[in-house]
Parts: sequence; C-alpha cells; structure tokens
Amino acid sequence: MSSHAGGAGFGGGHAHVVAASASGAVYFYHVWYLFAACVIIMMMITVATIAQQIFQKTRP
Amino acid sequence: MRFEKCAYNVDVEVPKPSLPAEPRRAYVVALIPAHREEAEIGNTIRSLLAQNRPPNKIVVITNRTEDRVADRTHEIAQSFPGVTAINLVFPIGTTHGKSRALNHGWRHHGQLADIVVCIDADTRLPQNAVEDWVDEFYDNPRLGGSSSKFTMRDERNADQTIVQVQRAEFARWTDTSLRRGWTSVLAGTGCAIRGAALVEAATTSGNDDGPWCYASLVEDFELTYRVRAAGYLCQVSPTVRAYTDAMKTVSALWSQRMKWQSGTVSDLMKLGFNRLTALDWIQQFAGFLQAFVRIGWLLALIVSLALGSFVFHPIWLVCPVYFAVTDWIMAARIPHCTWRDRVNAVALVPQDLFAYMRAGWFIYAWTEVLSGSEKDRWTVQYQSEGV
Repeated sequence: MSSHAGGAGFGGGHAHVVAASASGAVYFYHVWYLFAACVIIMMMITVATIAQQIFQKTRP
Repeated sequence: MRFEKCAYNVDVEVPKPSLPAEPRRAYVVALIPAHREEAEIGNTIRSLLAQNRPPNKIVVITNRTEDRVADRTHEIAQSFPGVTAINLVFPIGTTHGKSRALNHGWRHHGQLADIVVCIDADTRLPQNAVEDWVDEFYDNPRLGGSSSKFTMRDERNADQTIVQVQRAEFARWTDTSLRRGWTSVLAGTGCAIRGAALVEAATTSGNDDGPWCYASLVEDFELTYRVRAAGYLCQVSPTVRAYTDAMKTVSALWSQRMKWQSGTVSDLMKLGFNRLTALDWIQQFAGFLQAFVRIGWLLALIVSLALGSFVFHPIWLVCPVYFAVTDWIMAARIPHCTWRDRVNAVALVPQDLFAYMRAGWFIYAWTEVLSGSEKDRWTVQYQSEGV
C-alpha cells in the first residue's frame, strides 16, 4: 500500500503563523509534523516489506 | 506462522482423519456458481477438465431471478460431457443468489466430498491446481481451506491503468498473506475447502440449505470465519494460482469494493472483537488512519495555498522519489510483471488516485453500515458491470 504524500509542505519546519481567524492565529506546523511523521512511518514500513520479500521463498 | 492464536480457534481439535488413506482416492467436487457468464464459462470448465488431477465431479449452477432473461451459460455448461449443469431461477427479489447456488450444488452433489473446489465462472485454474490442493490437505490435517493466488493476466485486461493498480494491489495482498501463513478470507473466486469443515459449517450457517449463509454480502469471508472458529486453519496456497479478470471501469471497481467493504464492516459489527477478528479490526483501523491522513493532507494543502503560505522546498522531492523507487522494486513481485506495471509504479499518480478512491469507499461504507442502510450491493455491482 503506498502513501505518496511528498512534494509539498507548509512553511517548512519552522513555527509559522499562516493565517488569522476571528479568534486568533492558526498554526499549521503541527499539521505538518503529523503528516511528516506518517510519511516517515510509511517509508519505514515500505523498506521493511522489501527486506522481508528478499528472504521470502513464496511468490505472490 | 505469525500470530497463530489469531489464525484459528486453537482450543478446538479438528476431527482426524477426515480423508481417505491415499490422495488419489480423495473425492473432489468442483462447484461453479454462474450468473450470466456465457463468455467465460467454457474456458473455466476446460481449465478444470485439463487438470493433472481432474475433480471427480464438476457442477455448474447457473442462477438468475425470474425478471432476468437467461443467457447461454447453462446451455454451454450442458454441452460438456460429464459436467452437471443446474439452472436455478429464483422469485423476483431473491437475494444472495451466489450463496443459494453454492448451497444447492453442495447439498445435491458435494455433501460427501472430501474436498470441495469453489471457483467463479470467469476464473481459470492452471493444471496443477487441484492436485496441489489435494496434497496440501493431506500434508496438514488442520487445514480447512486453501485460497488461490489471484492473478490478472495483462493481455486479458488490455492496457488500462485501472487494471495495473489492481494487479499491484492483489500481488501485495497475496504476498502479505503468504508471509503471515494464514488468511481470513477463502476467496470465492477460487479456493478449496475440506469437506468435513463444510459439513460442520452447514450446522452454523443459519439456514437448512448448506454451509453458505444468506446474511452476509461477503459470504466467503463469513464462511471462512466459521471454518476458523471450528478449529481449522485457512491459508493462501503457495503454489495454486487462479487467473481472473480485473474490474475495468471506475464504476465497476467502486461497486465491487463497496460490496466488499460494506459486507466486511457489517460482519465485523456482528462478530465483534475477538482473536479471530483482531486482524480485520486492525486493518479497519489502519484504513481509517490512511483515509484521515490523505484527506487531511489534501485539505491542509488547499488551505495553505488559499492563504498564500505555501512554500516549496526541493528537499521534499525526496519523498516521492523514494516511493517511486520502492514501488518500482515491489512491482517486480507482480505475477507476469510487464513494463506497464513498472511504469505504473514509477508514475505514482495512478496509485495515489487509487489510494484516494480507497479512502472514499472506506468512509462511505462505514457511513452506510452505521446509518443502517441495507442496499443490495450485489445488484448494484451487476448493474455497474453490465451483466
């Protein structure tokens, strides 16, 4: 299962105020960290899968 | 085997022995439920007749409701000497035609079988299939059922991108099941089930007709659960393939997956959380997470673009390049891999669009089940496939 969410970001990794609502500023960097973590986990799962396939005797 | 306690009910002993002393004496019955399959039924029967070890009996059960015009499926099946052809016509409004057809075939021709092979009428088995399945049951007395490895031939499906993404998906599903050593679905597309396990399942199906129930949209998943609960192991065969067709339009693919997902969610809600359903619940949770990440990512991107805060850094290209390379490596695992599979993997976009579709049917199916909707998903799928 692939997850290809790369190629876009939200103001880099810095604390970055990107918008203001009536009640105050909205910070997107938390969202960025969340998605970055998900992508890194997907990358680790992918490489682990490939590593297992190397030693797998059966073919799909 | 991984997570053995989740594979089958380890607290139950299965009856031994349940097969004749020698594999060549095993009585094998093949059941083929068919709904308007005149184009492929002949090839399916020929693939069974050409087996190294042919089934002792082949039964084709054509089924339709009264309001549907009959096609030539039954006539074609009848034309093969030695093939038992049954034509079932149900009253208008009858649902679960496939389960009813399988139960009818089993009740009249399969109850005494040592091994029952079930295949769809558009599926072809390679010559080793029945022989290898018989050997698997003799090698492992715990084995209740063995599913085939679904393989979509590229040349049978033209060069559509939608077929390529399904080929990649099925290869990954098979790879994962083989690594795990067990499966929670003996897919009706092509599988073999131990006769003794079916006899036991017939007592828990909720009807007097046979092992297949009429309360599930995914009758194969539901039956597999009861077979596992009776103490039997269900696996994906390491050697038996089943050549089948992919969904060729977005509409047909959506309908098929909505049926699978709605049926699975509905059954899981009924079965609850236990050792045997734990993996399926985890997969549902993973599906939620993926849908959340994908849709959340898209929304955040749109908002940041709308607010003018989007800044691009070349370092982010590492991610798509990484996934393109790993997908390209994994594409080599697709059976009968072609250059189109490789290109599809590297291109990323088709697989990304497919992933968004998956998030869509995942959320929609959950919404449908939780809202109590009881749409006849079989009919919807037949309509979208034009049969």
